[in-house]
Amino acid sequence: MKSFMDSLRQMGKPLNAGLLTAMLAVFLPLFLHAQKDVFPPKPEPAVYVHDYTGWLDAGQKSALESKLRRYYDSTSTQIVVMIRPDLGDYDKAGYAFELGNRWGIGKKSKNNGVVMLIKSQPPDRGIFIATGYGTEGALPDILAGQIVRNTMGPYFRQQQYYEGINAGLDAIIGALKGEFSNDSEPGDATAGVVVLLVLFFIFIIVMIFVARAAKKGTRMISRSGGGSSWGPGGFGGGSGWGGGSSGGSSWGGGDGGSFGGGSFGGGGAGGDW
Amino acid sequence: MMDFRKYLPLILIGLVVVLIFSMCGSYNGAVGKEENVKKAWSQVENQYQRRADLIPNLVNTVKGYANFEQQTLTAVVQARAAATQTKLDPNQLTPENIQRFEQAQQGLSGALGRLLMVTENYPDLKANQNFLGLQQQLEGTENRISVERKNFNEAVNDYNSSIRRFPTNLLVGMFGFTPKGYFQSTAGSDRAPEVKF
Repeated sequence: MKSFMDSLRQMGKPLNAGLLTAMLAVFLPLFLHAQKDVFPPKPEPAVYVHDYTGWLDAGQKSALESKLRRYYDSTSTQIVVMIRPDLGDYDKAGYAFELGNRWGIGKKSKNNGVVMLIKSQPPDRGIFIATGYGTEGALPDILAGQIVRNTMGPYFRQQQYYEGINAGLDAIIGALKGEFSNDSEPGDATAGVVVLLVLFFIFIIVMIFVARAAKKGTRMISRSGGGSSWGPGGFGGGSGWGGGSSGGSSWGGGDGGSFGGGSFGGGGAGGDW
Repeated sequence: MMDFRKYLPLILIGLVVVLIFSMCGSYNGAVGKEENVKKAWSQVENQYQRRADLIPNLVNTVKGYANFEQQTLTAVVQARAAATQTKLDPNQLTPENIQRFEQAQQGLSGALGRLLMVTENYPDLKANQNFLGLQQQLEGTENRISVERKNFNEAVNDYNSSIRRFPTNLLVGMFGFTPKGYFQSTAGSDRAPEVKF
């Protein structure tokens, strides 16, 4: 009984050893599980270069990142570089498509995304360039395969990974030249208007309903007790929604953009170096 | 107590109306999901067709090489004929039909796999640019097939689980919503043949 009281008293102190181990016991498995998942969560806002091997130093990484960010700003095309030692149960192609579809790399209306996947360790070591539905035309499988073998391969064989990736990106950007431009998307705007209209109608219907209920049987509502507090609650929700929409409008003007729902249908090619 | 009695018919009518509305909603939902399944199916068929279209070129390229195993070639041609003959009506995507379709396509996958394995013994052929290009196109097609198969399975899963849910399950008999078949991924057989350079 005494020890129980002790532990109760200890619980009040912040960060004692018992609590810490308890927290570790709860969160460590979660953490390990997260480590084992081969698909990192979608970065928000978009991050274009992901290196899980340490092949790129900080300067090289930021050089590639700003190159891809600038490319996105001028063309709205998103190219993601992913370097990983292992892919779980996936082969290179399957992983690259799945990553592209999960993150939604490329614009939804154009599907202009590309994934350059580099698997650094055997087995199945190599590079795979996956093309979104919209880039398959300008960057056909044959060309993607040539970029891997002839442009990137020679650098990779000499462990010049940064140079190889950079040359590969230049070749991809060259192939996609003139294909896309960063015009504002009318689709997004109309979707926003539709959502607004629907919410407006729902609001009106609710208001009519509330007014009628108030007119008809005040006794019925007041008896339940919840009726009177329900009205203001609805208003509160409405104002909260307005705040959410202003957050949504800043989405378009982000410097690196965000991954926006592009999809991949199995285009692309790869190979070892 | 008196009040409750008075409102009871109204409440019952309200419940029925709500149920009818939700049934309409779920009927429309099921129809939409069925359309998605059909759309996904047409993509699957397109990609398999694309593979079938590549094969005559491949066979012609390989034929030119002296004493190439005739047996392997005829096996591929026959399997292609069998696979292209097995067409499915998009309204009949039952599990049995899907399985039949898949079996025919897998016959072709197997024959193609053997053909590509045999070509390993022909260094001249492996250096032929035309052959390399075809091989790469074939690999790309296999990748597309596996993506579209996955999309199809997801669409079917969405549809199948929706028609089992209340209240859609009450409409199943009335409007003929039947569960649709999945692709069974058989280990290794639908993998793209690895191309080494």
